[in-house]
Amino acid sequence: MTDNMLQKLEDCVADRNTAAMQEIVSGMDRLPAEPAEVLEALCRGMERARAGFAEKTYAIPDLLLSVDCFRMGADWVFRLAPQKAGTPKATVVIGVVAGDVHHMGKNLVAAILSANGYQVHDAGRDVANSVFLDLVRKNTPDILALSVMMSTPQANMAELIRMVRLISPETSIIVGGASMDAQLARSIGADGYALNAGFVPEEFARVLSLRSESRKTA
Amino acid sequence: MPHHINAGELASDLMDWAPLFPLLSALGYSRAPGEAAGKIRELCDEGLSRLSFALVTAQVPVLSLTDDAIHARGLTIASPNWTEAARRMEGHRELHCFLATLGSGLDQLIEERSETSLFDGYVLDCLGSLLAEKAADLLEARLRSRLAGEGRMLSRRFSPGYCDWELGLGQQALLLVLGPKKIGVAPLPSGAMQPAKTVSGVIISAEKIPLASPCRLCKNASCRHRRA
Repeated sequence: MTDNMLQKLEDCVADRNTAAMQEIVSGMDRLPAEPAEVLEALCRGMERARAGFAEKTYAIPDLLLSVDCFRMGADWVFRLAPQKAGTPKATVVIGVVAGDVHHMGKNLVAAILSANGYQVHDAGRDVANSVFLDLVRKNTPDILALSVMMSTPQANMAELIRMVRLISPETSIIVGGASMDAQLARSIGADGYALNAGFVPEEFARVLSLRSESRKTA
Repeated sequence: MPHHINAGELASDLMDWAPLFPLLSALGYSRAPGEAAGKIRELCDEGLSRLSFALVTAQVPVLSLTDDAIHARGLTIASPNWTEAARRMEGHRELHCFLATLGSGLDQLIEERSETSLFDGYVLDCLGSLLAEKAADLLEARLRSRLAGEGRMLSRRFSPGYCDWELGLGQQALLLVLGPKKIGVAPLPSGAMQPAKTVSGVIISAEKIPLASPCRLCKNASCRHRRA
């Protein structure tokens, strides 16, 4: 019974079935298994959806429907068992830098990160450097993820990266957005770059692993 | 003679356009998206119901061309490439400047829906981008048809941030002649505008235009905005 239910939750996410997920989360006031197991099932569904996106059988909106299903399920878990959902993989502060108001990509990345077990603090869009710096000081995140679609705010982003290095050298920085590429990301001092949301889990894992290696050798 | 395009007629053209199939294509669907199709259709209708289209235009004569800029009354376009294209045009040149917005209602809807559904937010955002671009297409087509009757030709439209016209300073210069506040548009120093689904640009008219854009003079073959 429990296994069936977990499989059903996984399938809802993988198959983008928001109606079925809504029925489950509004009709059940007890989780069918331990919170961590339910979250794992939701994550497996998300992983299948992401594979569909990588194989081009899913378009971006399909992936987003899966994300919506995942979020419904995850909210349900946190509502019914707020203290028992497990510890996050890492902490991320994410936002769109000052001067840019385009935030669809950032929202998608934030959702993918949540679905992959990261604790995400979303700073929003057109975020002043001082706000990012306060969030970094307050949360000491493992990763600061910065998004920019336009080219004009890139200089400001480079300045922000320089300041974050000074106040929180242990925080890794990953950048993304339409005006970015891997070379530009390196040139402004970022540790990582994700071409699109499909590459996010691997790139964040790679940067975290490098971070952990460098800590060992320090 | 001014060739103002009326916001009402353009809004009417825009509402006559059926965005569903272009939207599906822009969302990345090469075939029918199955169950998502119904949701997309509903979102499309909802998005269209929240439009409050507004337009402001200005027509200014070109006064001179220097090596790297087109100097018009109240506006300098610092773009060596477009200056070269303008140099090859014949007869009296005029700049037709425009700023069109879909209004803050659609922005608010995108914001609200994104809170609960990334799918809804993304579809609406994509719809807004398509509609803003279509509004600029329709404006260009109306102006082209109006000026053709007077024996004048038009360049392609161009906007700050494209080709070698820098975004931040270009947008500021362009908006100075347009007065964005009149239609509730607020520019950011970076060149972005709010409401987000707003488009600005310039079209040059002249008696003869051998090059409608500077692309054929440009050696950057990999430019993703290259036009024939």
